[in-house]
Amino acid sequence: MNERSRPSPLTPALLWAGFLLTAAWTLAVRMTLFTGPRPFFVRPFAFGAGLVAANAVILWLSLRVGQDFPAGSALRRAWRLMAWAGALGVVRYGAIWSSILRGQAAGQPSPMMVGAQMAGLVSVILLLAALVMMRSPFARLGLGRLRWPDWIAIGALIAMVPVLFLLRANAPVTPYRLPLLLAVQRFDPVLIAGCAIAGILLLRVSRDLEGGSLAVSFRYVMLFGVARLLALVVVLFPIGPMTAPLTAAGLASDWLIAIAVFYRWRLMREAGEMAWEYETGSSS
Amino acid sequence: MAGFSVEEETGGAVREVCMIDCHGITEQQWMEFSEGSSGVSEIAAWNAEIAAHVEECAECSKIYRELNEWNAQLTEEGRLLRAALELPEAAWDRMLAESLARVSAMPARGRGAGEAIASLRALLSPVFGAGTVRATVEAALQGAAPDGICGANWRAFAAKWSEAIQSICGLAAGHLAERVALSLAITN
Repeated sequence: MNERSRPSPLTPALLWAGFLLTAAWTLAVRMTLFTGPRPFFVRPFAFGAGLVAANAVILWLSLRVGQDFPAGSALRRAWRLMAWAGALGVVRYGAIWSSILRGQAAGQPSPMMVGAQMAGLVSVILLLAALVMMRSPFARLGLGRLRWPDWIAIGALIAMVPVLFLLRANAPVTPYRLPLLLAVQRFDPVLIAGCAIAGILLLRVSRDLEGGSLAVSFRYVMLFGVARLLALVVVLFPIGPMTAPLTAAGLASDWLIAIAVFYRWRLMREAGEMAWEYETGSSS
Repeated sequence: MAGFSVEEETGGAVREVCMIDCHGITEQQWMEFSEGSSGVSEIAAWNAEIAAHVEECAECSKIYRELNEWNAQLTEEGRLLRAALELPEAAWDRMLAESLARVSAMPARGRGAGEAIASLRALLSPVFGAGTVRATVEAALQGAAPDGICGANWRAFAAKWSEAIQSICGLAAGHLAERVALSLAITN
């Protein structure tokens, strides 16, 4: 039996405001702390309350959505993974943020910073696994079958991976010079390309759904993949002024996943509310 | 006339549906005729044949009028629901519930499985997406009514449809889907 749920303070506008404020904050920090243009992965500064909040939203809503699927189902597992990704995101940005607040120099290695970087890597791996796992129940219903433009886009992304590695190798990366962290950072291009490919898979599902909150949710996943990818390849663009905003959008992109999760959660909430309205309407 | 494929309706495999079977005109043919579907030449030919028959047959003429009224009501419900997407969440929920109640209250006489499926599509496409409804209806038809959907297996269809919706949209959505399907009384 459904129950009427309490009104939620979360709205797409609020989450978008989180994205924009985080991106603006990242831009401001970059402009303050760096004299020249600096490419992506200035990760020690890509932190802040905004990203902790975004990951907290991902964690909370993913747990709620996961409960809406039967135990043992693929989507329940996928949403659990998504919740874990959010939890590790909170740990990561929370650790970096608190270190900076305590006055620790950004480039100074510490166990907390190493842990934060590792948490970040595992978070993205879990996110990627969750996104890939989400597709299979739709595929069983014949939704999201890839067409030739999808294959071309996926092929292009795979072909681009060596270029991404090259960009990554040439970028002035993290100030933490620990070998483990450098190795972790160099693994990023595979994950970024993976997120973009997952975005393509889910965008196709979204198109096949032909509307509804779920389709909107998957479009935001695609946007997330694009934002991450653009932040890495922006140095290839001939227009210099694009670098800063695209990098900021990439750094704030956890909010896009938060919005995607929000729309999925909203579908669950709407369905519960409608059933409640319908049942009470029918019985009155 | 032979039973008509619901491939267009479900987006999937060809199957026969149960009939109103008035003067050999199947329910699906009535639906196609009343909706004015003529994209397929075979359907256009049948439609022409039905039109000629309706001109001459008082009973079929009455069915045609009723179907037109019913279609107009559904179209209006769909229009209201699309407009409701711009409303706040609570108002939208209320509006869907009211739409469901109105559709359920429509006279069940003459409402067959094809019409009921059209109702499900009209009502829940704004929530789940038209493609979702189409794919899940197809899966449910394959699972619960491989030989054709009718009043006798409508409940089994509703359970399978709810299961299919639930597999991708969750338990709450599956519950809503089952409630809506079971609220639509259909005739054999």
